[in-house]
Amino acid sequence: MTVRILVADDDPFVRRLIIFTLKKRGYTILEATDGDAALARIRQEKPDLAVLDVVMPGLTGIEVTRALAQDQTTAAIPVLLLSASAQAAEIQAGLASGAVSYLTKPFEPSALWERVEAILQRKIE
Amino acid sequence: MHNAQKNKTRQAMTIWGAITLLYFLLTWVLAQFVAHTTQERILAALATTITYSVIAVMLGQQIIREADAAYRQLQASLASERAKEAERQQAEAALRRSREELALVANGIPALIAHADVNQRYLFVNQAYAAWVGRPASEIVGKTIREVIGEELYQVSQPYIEAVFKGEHVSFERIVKGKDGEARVQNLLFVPHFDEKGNVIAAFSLVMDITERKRAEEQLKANLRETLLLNSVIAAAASTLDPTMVLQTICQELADALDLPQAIAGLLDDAHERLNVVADYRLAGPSTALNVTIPLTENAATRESIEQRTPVVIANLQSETRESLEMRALARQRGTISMLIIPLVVRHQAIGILALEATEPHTFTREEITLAQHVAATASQVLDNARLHTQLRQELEERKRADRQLQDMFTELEHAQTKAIATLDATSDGMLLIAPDRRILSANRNFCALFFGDSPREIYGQRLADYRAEIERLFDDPAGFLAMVEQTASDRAGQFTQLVTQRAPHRREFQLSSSPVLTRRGEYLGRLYVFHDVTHEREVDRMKTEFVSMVSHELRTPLTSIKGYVDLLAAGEVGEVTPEQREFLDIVKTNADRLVELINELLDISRIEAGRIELRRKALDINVLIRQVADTMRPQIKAKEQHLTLDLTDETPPVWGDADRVIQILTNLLSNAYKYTPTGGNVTITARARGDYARVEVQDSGIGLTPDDQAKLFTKFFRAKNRATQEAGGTGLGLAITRSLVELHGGEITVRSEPGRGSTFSFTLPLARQAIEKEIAPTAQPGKRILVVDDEPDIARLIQRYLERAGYRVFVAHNGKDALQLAQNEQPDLITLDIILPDCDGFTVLEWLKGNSATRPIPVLLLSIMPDEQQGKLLGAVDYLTKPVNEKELLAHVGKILEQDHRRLVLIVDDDAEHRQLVATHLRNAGYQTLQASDGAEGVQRAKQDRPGLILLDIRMPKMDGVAALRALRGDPATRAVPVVMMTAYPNLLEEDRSIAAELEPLPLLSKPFTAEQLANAIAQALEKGKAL
Repeated sequence: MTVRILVADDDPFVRRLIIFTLKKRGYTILEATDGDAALARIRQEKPDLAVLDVVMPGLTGIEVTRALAQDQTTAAIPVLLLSASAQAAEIQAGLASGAVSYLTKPFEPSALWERVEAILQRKIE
Repeated sequence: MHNAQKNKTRQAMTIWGAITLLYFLLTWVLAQFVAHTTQERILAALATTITYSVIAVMLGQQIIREADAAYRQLQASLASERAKEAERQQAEAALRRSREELALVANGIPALIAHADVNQRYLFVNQAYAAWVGRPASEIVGKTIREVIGEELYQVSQPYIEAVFKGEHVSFERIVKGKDGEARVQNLLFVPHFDEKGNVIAAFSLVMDITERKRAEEQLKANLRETLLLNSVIAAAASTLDPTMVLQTICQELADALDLPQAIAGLLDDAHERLNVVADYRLAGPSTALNVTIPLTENAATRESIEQRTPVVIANLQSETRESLEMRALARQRGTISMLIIPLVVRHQAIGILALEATEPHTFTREEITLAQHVAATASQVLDNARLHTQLRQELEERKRADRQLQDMFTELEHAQTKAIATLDATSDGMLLIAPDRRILSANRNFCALFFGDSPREIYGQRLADYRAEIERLFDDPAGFLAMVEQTASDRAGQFTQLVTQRAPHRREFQLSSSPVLTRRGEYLGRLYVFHDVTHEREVDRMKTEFVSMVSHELRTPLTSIKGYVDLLAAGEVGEVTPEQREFLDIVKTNADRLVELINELLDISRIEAGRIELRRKALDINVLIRQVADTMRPQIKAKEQHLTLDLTDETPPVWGDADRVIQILTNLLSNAYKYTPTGGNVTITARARGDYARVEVQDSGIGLTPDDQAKLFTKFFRAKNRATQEAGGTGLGLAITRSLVELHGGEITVRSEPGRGSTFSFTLPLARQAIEKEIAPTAQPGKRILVVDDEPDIARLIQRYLERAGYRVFVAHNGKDALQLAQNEQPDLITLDIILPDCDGFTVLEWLKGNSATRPIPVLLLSIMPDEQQGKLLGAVDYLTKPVNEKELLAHVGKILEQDHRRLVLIVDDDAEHRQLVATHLRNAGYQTLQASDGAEGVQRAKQDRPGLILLDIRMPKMDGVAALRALRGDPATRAVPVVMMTAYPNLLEEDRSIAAELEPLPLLSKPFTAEQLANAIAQALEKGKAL
């Protein structure tokens, strides 16, 4: 069974970039274009990892992360937040909500998959 | 017989006449010489009249009686011849008797009375006369006057005696020698005695001794003269206050009174060394002594008068050796022979002299000297009065002037106050001045408006706490606001600012600035609280921040796509790329990077401008930072074949700075040098200590800058216009940011350059001399247990070695799970945590540690390469260090954290919410974190759950009281060792409470209300106790 990663970003180009990069590494991608859809799909499909943009229509990435952490069935799913804001406060809020890591946009595709692999590796351990 | 009768009657009449004459004489004498006033004259006349009346009555009766008897005898003799002889004998006897009676009367009068006939033979003398002559009256009668009074005296009186016998009334005075040889003055009155035909048949002499009267008269005259003299002196003084004029008058009057032709007056100078002649009176001739100076040292007689305050008489001034040659010459010139010097004495102090001069040898009598002294005394008094008067007038003037000045000052003060009030009222800030006793000293219009809206009230002298209702209605945190004022009002030193939020009538934010108000002499008047409305500023600030972060976000998203796809293309992820395609993709990538850099710098500059960059300063080894930056840049520099030289010395002391920001400064300068220096050029970084600063220079051999460019270099968006900058790219913000950062550190940045010959940028950073010693002092606490969390085994081992060398017990964890496990099981005293793990879960570990009640109180020291201090702190780390970690620094930080007692979390258990709040404010100000519980049960619960480092426990509380709570705390292993401070609001029960509490253990006890200082002392006491356990 392949590793499934949910990717949520409202910007279609960025979403496509993430999906392309991760698919290239052999991961199965679940796609969402906003926070509400992302939360619904994660609850339904229980992916191995969620890569969430912070600023999205509807629920923000941080709100989705918090919802996941509060739910027993999804609390174990690690979340990688992507933030276009370099503001410390937002990053702190993100980490405080339960995300295991974050990446500041713009990022290099290679940095993304290296980070994803590290998280998955830790999870397996 | 008839003749005898007639004769007898004539004799009686003669005696009668004599007595009547005597009476008139006496009256006249008394009136003339003894009595001086009309009253006295009347009295004298009365006295003599009475005497006369008595005598007259006596005599009259006698005479009538005798006349009767004579008449009867005459009748009888007529009747009897025989009886004639007897009658004659009887008449003779009667005559004899009447003579005896005359003698009796005359003897009763205290004057010398004599009766002599024309042959100058005495017919009668009274006893006084006889006594004066010194012979019995019987021996005198019948003798001549010349025989009795002696030749000498007779010669004096002869003309008068002859005159009286010619029928004249004679009166004269003569001086005779008394028995004791003393000269006596006699007044003599000679009265002729006529017969019926008017022939002089005898003369009466009445001699009176008027020596005493004469003396009294002289005395009286002298007194009168003196009184008149003094009157004129006083009158002269009254007419002028000029002492010179007064003295001139005195000289003249006194000289006239003593019948002397000249006199001078001199006043002493301030040094009491010389007299200045200020008045000179000369009856004949002009003044010659005026303004002459008489030195006391050379004029001993004058000096004696001054020093002894006594009159001095000089018999002949022209040959007086005690006086100087000049004085003698002056005397000759003025013709002065004798001189009387009288000192002028005011309040036992000689102020000058009067000198009376005689132009011929003159012996000054005692009376003259006394008179002169009296005048001098009066003159002195007058002069003193004049002086006092002048002084008084001056004082009055002075006081008037002072009054005017005071008035002016009041006016000025009033103006100043009006201006101040107007100014204060005109400012848009609310201002409140609170006295140390918490009363309102002053508040401006805007403060009143803020507090009471449109209905201002007189709030002077009130306590701020009296307006609790307003405060509660107005502010978000009323208790905190009141506590803040309560606590700071008597603080005469510190300044602080804080944010106060008003919630009614509409939401406003105030920047509250407070500073003490001291007078110029350092007297503490109170504390000023200025409420500056920052609602709009903060709104604008928020909008700007939002705007910047929005722009940043909106730019980053498309850049993410651009960079991402270019990277994918360039990496050949979607097929082979030709070298030309790769070159173009690199251009896109470079420009995308420039945009990202611009966005980052924009964010930075907006933070700096908003004042939102806080430096986290500590002692830094500048050499380490320079090497670190150089190492980062070295690959690029090498690629451009440039030579980088580091000119560093171990002697540079640590600087006081924020490591991240210092790295940013160095990176910016080095990267500029790299950019603007051609291939193969040189870059040198030098660091040296200079004074209180370290100076770092980044020198390059690049294109250099024109003076114009240098001037504008550090302004925003400035870019030098030349080919190199075009090629190098850049935002024009880097140096502006760099300068801001250097200045934030208290240093300065400058540039020296010449076009074509390279540039040298130098900046300074303050040295951390004091701070560093404190900070890195080895304060190791051997035996304490430390958990080291680091995913890199080498680094973990290094840190472990450092710590173990200092005597700590060390546990190591390489991942979050182990870290949490170890932290929970081992309960270390400190955890060091690397937060830059590849997946960044260092923060997550921190979050876990702080989220777990068992590990929450354990202090965490963050170690990282590029840390975000804010983040670490928010998550609960107490301190942080930048890697690479230096042993000394690590031990200093670890020691400091352990020493400080990391459990700076204090639980306040009190049912009084307001008091809890107050204590919490005190504690927060002292750097503690606080937890609150409103009763004993809740307190015990929270103590178990949150593991505070200290508990403040009120004794009287509902549900579970303080004593029960203490018992519960001590009964639980988790809370057994927590130091406790008891609090009580009932001073009366203090002893009882203390004894109850002492049953369990002796604890520090605070009696409410208490000051911050008392609280701090009690805490220190409790912690000391805790350490000992």
